[in-house]
Amino acid sequence: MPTYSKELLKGAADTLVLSSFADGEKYGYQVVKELERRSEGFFCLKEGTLYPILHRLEKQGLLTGRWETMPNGSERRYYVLTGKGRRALSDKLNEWQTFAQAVGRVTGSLALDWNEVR
Amino acid sequence: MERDEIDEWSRSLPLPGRRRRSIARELRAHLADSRRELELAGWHPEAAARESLRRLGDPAEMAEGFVQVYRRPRRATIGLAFGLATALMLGIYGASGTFASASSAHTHPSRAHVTHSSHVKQAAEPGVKRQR
Repeated sequence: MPTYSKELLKGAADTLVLSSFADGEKYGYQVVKELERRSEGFFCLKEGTLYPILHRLEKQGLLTGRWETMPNGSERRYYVLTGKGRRALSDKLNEWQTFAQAVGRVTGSLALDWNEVR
Repeated sequence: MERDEIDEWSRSLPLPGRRRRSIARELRAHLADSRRELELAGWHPEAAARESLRRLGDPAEMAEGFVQVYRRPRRATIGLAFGLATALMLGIYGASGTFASASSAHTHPSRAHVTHSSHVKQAAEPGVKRQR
C-alpha cells in the first residue's frame, strides 16, 4: 500500500479530480477507478472522500452534474467540466507542473543521498 | 455501514432534505457499481456488499466533507447576523423616534394650542382680512 501524507493529497486533489474529466464526462465510481489505473495504484482513495470533492467543484461552477438512468434501471450521476472548469484545469496543470519541477530541483539529489544513508 | 444505513447516515447530515436524499442516491449508485464489479471478479455477493462499504470509508469523515461543502461560510454568517442586528436596532430606533414624537404631541398639548391660538389671534387682529 503506497503511503503519502494526507496534506500532500489534499493539495493535489482538485487537480487530480479535474484531470480525470479531461477526456469527457464521468460518474464518481469511474473517477475512482481512473485515478487508481492512471496512478498505477498509487491513489487508492477511500472512495467516499471523492464525493464531497465532486460536490465542491460543482458548487464552484467547475463541474456540472446530471442524473442518467441506465437500461438496467440503475442510476448514475455524471459530471462534466464546464468552461470555467476547463480553464481552472489548465491553470492547475501549469501550476502543479511548475511546483513539482521546482520541488524536484531542490530535493532530487538529496533524496538519493538520504536513501543511501538509510 | 450497510446499504440501508446510507439512509440513516444521510438523515443525520445537517443539510436540507433534498440535498441529503441526492447525496444518498449518489452513494447508493456508487455502491451498486462497486458491488457489481466485485461480484464479476468472483466475490460472493455478501462479501462484495461488505467490501464495497469498506472501500467507501469512514462515514463520519464523509459527512464532515459534505458539511464543509454546503455549510454557509462563517464570514457570510457573521455578515448576516450583523446586518440583522443593525436592521433590528434601526427599526427599534425608528419606532421609538415615531413614538417619542407622537407622545410629545400628546404630553405637550400646549405646543399645539400655541400654534392654534396664534392663528386665532392673527385672524382676530383688526385690519387683517381673512382670506377664504
